[in-house]
Amino acid sequence: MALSAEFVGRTYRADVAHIVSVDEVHAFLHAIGEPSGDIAPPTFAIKLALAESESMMKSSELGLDWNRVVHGDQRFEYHRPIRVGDALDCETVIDAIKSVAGNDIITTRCDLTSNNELVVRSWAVLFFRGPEK
Amino acid sequence: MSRISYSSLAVGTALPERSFQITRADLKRYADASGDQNPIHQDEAFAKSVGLPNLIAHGMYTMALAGKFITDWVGDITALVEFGVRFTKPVIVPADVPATVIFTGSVTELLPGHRAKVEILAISDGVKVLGQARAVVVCDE
Repeated sequence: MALSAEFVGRTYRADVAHIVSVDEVHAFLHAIGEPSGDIAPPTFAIKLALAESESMMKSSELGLDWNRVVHGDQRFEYHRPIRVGDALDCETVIDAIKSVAGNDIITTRCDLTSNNELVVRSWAVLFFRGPEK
Repeated sequence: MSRISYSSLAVGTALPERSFQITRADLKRYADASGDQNPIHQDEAFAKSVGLPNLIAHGMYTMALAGKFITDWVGDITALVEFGVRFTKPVIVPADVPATVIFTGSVTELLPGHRAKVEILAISDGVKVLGQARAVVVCDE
């Protein structure tokens, strides 16, 4: 089932700001072989962005099967580093929807902001594999 | 933190090759740290049941290592202003031996404000696993 193009431009906002904890930054740093510190590494933003996309895609409105998702592209634009203690608001917008050979290809943009100032903007291209024929 | 000096760079300046090993224990740690608990990264039987050759690394884990490759070269974890990749092929992680990803790269453009564009190559088991892997970094003068 192809996803309707009417969802382009649809925006989702997390209800509460995410407070970046020392534990989650250290766990992420440790997982990628970096020493402990108070500054999150460049791809840490995905932790928030992907969690937000997941809940959005699973919402009854879109009803996409998250088990069939393949991450195609990922891009980040950094305005300042994410630090322990940051309160980050997350807003996700559906930038584009394409359907190719039975697969939905969705581009999402996620803005992480702090006090209305942009911290990290990211784009993800997600492929939702259609049912096997 | 001190960064690589912009004046030392030219188009074509190479980032010294580095390789990273990835074990299944690394993927478990990354899954817990990132929240991405997709079983294709942790459960070999599940991965094979959905048509994959074996358990595969999170694309974002490979991207994280690519980020480390670049920021270590610059000398500062906060040096990136743009960073993007395409996940072209999965990194296969067998049970008994770690997967290896070899990174190389070079400066492709010098930009105003002590910025440089770099393009990197990531190879695992002879296969290019990232495409269009590019970053813009801010250097020291």
